Amino acid sequence: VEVQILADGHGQVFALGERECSLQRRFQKIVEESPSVAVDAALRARMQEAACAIARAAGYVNAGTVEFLLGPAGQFYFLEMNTRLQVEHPVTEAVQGVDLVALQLAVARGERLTLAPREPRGHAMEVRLYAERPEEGFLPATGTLLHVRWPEGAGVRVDHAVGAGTVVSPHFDPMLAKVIAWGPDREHCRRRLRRALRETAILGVHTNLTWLLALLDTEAFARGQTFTHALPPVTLPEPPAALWAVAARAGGAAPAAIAGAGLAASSPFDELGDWRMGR
Amino acid sequence: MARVHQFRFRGRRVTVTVDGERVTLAPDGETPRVLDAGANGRTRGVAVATRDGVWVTADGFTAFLEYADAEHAAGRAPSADEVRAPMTGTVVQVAVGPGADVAAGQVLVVLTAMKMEYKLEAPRAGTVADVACAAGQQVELGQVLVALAPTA
Repeated sequence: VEVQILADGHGQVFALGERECSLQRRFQKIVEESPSVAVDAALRARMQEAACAIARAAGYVNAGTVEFLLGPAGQFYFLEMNTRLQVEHPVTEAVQGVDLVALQLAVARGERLTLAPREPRGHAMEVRLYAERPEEGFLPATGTLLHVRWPEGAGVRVDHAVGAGTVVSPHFDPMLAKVIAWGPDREHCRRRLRRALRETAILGVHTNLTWLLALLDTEAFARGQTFTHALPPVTLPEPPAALWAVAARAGGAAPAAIAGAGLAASSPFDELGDWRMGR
Repeated sequence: MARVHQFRFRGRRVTVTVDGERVTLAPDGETPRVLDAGANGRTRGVAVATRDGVWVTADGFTAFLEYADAEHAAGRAPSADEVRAPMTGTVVQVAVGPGADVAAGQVLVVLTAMKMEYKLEAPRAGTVADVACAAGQQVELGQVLVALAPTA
C-alpha cells in the first residue's frame, strides 16, 4: 500500500490518499486501486502523516510515493520511496479529482500549491495491458498490432500510445496500455472496468486482456482479497460461441482484411461492432 | 453455400461451418453443434484474417485461431526434432553444443525479451545434431535454434 504525496518548494507537503498495489505477478503490478479495501479513515490519516513526515525530513520537492507494507492489525512498515510519477497515478487522480502532472509542472515553476486534500471520492481501478501470453507461462509476445479498439464512456480512461500498425518489439517493457475505471463504489468500479475491457480489442499481438477479465471475475478479487503472496487462481475461460462465429466469417477474407460480424444481426451493418476493409 | 474453416486452438482442431446465419461448431471427436446466437440474439466481435490464421475478439475473449486445414497446414507441421524460439528475443546463452547428449527438460538455450528470461528445454532425451544460434543473436518467433538427431 502506497501513499501519494506532493511537496512544493515552499515547505508544504500534501498527502493524496493511498493506492492498493498488492496484486502482483513476479513483482510486477497488475491491478492497482484506490482507496485500499484494507485502509479506513483512521489508518489513512496515520499512513499519510508518516508519509508526509518522511518527505519533510528529506526536504523533498515533487510528486512522490511512499510505499508501506501493511500488516493485518493495521501496523505498517516503510519499504521505499518512489521519487517520481508512477504508472498507477491515474487511480489517485480519479478519486482525488486532481491532475498530478499539472501539479508537478506547477511545483517545477516554483508555485505555491493550494490543495485541499480530501477523503477519496468513489473508487478507481487500473489494469495494465501487457503483450504476453498467459497460457504460455506469461511469455512476452511481439508482433505488429493489426487492429486496436479502446473503450469509451463516463468513468473510463485509457492511457496508451499504440494503434494499428504499431510494432511491439522485444526491446521494451511489454506494457501496451493502462485502462482505468472510476465508480461510486468498488463494485460499480469493477463492473465498469469489466465492461471497458470487454469493449477493448487488441488483435495481432497476444495480450493478457482475456486473463485480466478472468481475474476481475474471480470471487477473491470481487471481494477485495488482495495479497502479494496469493494472486487469486485465474482459470482462463473456454472460448464463447460467438468467437468461432466471428472468426469463421472473417476466415475466408483476404489476409489482413478486417471484418466484423454480428451473430443473427438483422441487417449486415447495424450490429457490426467494428467493420473496415483493410489495405 | 456453406463455408468450412478448420482452426487449431489450445492444441485441438475445431471445424466451423458457416451457412448464412447458421454456424456449426465441431471440435475433433465431438458431435457438431449449432451455435446459439445468444440471449439478445446478437454479439459484437472483431476479427482480422492473416496468412496463418484469424485474430478474433468476441464477448471478452481474444484469441489467435491458427488455420488447421490441409491447405494452410501443408509444409509447416511441427517437428519433435526441432527446438524453436517461443518468442522473438535475444539469445543470452547456448548451453549445449553439437553432439551433446541431453536429457528431457535439460536447458538448451536461454533467451531474453522485454526484461524477462526464458529457458528453452529439451522436449525429449536425445543427441544435439545442430545448434543454429549463438549468444547475442537476435532470433524470431518460430526460428529453429537447436535440432536433435532423429530417434531411430
